[in-house]
Amino acid sequence: MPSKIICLMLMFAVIAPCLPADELSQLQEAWVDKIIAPRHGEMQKMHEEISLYNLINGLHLTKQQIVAIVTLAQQAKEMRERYLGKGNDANAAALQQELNEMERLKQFAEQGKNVPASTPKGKRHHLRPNKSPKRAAVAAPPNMQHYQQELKRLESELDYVLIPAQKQVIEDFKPCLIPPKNLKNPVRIGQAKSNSHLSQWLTRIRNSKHEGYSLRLALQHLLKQAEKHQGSYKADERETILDKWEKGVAQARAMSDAEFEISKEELAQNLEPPDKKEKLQKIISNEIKTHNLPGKTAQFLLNPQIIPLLRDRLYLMLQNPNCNTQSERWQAESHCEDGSCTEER
Amino acid sequence: MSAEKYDATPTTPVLSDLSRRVFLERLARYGTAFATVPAAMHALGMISEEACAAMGLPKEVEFYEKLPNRKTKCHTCPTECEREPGKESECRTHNNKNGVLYTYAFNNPCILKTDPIEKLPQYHFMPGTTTLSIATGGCNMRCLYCQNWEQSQSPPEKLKTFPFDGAQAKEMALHKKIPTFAYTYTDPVVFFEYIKDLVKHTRPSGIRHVAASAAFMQEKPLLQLCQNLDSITVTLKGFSEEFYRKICGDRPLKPVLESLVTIKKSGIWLEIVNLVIPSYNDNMKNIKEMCKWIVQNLGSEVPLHFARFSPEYKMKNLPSTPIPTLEKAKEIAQAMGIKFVYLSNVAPHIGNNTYCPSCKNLLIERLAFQILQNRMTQGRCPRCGSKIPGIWDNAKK
Repeated sequence: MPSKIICLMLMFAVIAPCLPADELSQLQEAWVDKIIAPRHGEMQKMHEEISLYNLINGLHLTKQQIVAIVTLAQQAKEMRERYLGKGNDANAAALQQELNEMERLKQFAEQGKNVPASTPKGKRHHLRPNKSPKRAAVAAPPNMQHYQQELKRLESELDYVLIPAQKQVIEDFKPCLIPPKNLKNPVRIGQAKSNSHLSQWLTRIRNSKHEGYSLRLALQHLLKQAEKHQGSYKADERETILDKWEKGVAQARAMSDAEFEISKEELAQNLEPPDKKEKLQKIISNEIKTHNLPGKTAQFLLNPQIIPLLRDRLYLMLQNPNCNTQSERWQAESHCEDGSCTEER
Repeated sequence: MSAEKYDATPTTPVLSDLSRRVFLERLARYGTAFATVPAAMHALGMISEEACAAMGLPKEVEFYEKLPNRKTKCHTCPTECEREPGKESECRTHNNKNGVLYTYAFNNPCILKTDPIEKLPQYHFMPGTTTLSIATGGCNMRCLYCQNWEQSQSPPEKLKTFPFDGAQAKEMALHKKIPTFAYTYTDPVVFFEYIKDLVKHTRPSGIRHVAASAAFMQEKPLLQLCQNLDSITVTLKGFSEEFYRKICGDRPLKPVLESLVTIKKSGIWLEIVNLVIPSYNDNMKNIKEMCKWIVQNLGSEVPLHFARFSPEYKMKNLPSTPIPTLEKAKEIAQAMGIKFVYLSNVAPHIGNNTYCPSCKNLLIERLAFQILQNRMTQGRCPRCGSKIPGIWDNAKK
């Protein structure tokens, strides 16, 4: 498979400069269709699984909690399938009706006749070659409101399973491939190191020799980096942030070393640019709460994909009660000097 | 080679007539003499500590003995380092300068930061409040798993430090409204003199002082330290001489146990932490013995924290402690009669919370160092009214 991909890429590199722009884009599309598209779903699934594993690791679930979550997730899965099944039936009928209509239009085209004026204008759009077939299915969707209510009910049952601190972790969780330090490796008791990257950059910029225009350039570069994570800002927003940062750096430089050490975390927090994605997330979660819709707990823990992951975890915990994960078990066994890891501790 | 050899007019008093070589030689000679005067005066007790500090001289160690041949013997911790002039103590902060033992940690911290008090960990002392954490370079322990080894295993002069004296500390605490100073991250035993000075300056303003220590200290300085502190968290690293010898730099366990008893008798608030390291001190028999000793010698109301180990420093080859191991340790401690047993470095977990030992009511709910809710009313359980041991005033609700 990799050799096929390399061959295709080489061919593309050789042929591409000789082709006109239109053909080039078609070739690109073909390449995406052939190589990427079939594996896109696979990648998405993998992404979701890694993210769910990160959440499971951060929640420190007990065996009893896992059993309860799997039961509820299973119920949610069955319910989802039931609703999707209903939807499929309804959609199939609508799709058939759509196909019949298209067949009629095809006949007109074959015979070179005009389409009767009585045909609704919207129907003509389906003849466009790039129109997504998903749009064609215009059946009445299954009763989503009822589905959401059912999911909400299951989510409220999860409230009895989880402790408030776990709910807090779920609320703060953002799907990720690499878990944030505070989830995977929280600051430990008596640990001097800080995980705050904001205070680290403030220290660096305070100690740098950048002044005036050069400082502004350095800050602009930092803002560009921040925008990659937090969404882009408008020109006036950007200027406001840069002005605030310049003042902050001047404030930090005016402090004594000791004062700066004590105040840097607080100062850095005040300088944090607004996170647009987070703001949007908050608006969405507020909407979810006001409309009593299923929230993040349902999104993650009632996800059908979590069922096999939790089952694996439970199996591992039952196999070796002293270890939470496979790696813990392997490492504990390989470093056990007196064989006590297999004894009753 | 003598300078006179190059000096055409040796008796001339005019500077401009001196050759460069002679000028530099005289400058070095007189300069050295001038610089040693304050140290000599200080050693002879002719100038005060304050004047000495103002001149940038290190502070003289309080508990040590002068031996013949300008040797010194430190009596701060049980290591009792005997040093010749110019030699550094085990803790890397004390140095014998010409027969006088000085501490280079005085007014010279390498860590200054604000932290939640739960990070110490102190779960029964003004929960939800902030501390100003202070640490200097150096430590009298050599733990192979030290998570602050960059600071603890370096002398202060090799670290970036921030001059911070008692007066500045007072000003900062009042300006930032910090209720408590915490001496943590490296063992406060090695900056004992600095702590005393900070307490002297800030206690009249109502600032409280807490520390996290291995309690590897001699009785006299420990009693003085206790007089200066309001609360202490002692890390009881293991419960076998072998563990202390093998993992903590060949230190004995006995002085630590003696210190724990001394601290308890002194009346300050005490909490104990035990870091559970897989395959080294996670033997449940040993944990049972430790809990039994705690109940017999310190009482059942001393909070005990079982902390989860994470691979650090020279023990990176080990895995993190499995949570079931910590849960089992907690069960044993509770079965032995310890009323407040916590799990640290695991969050979220019910082991982070405080429950009433009488009615099992949830009193304080935590997510790591964060307090989610505090239901206590004036140090009592709101349901059954039982008094919960600890210092609860100024606590955020």
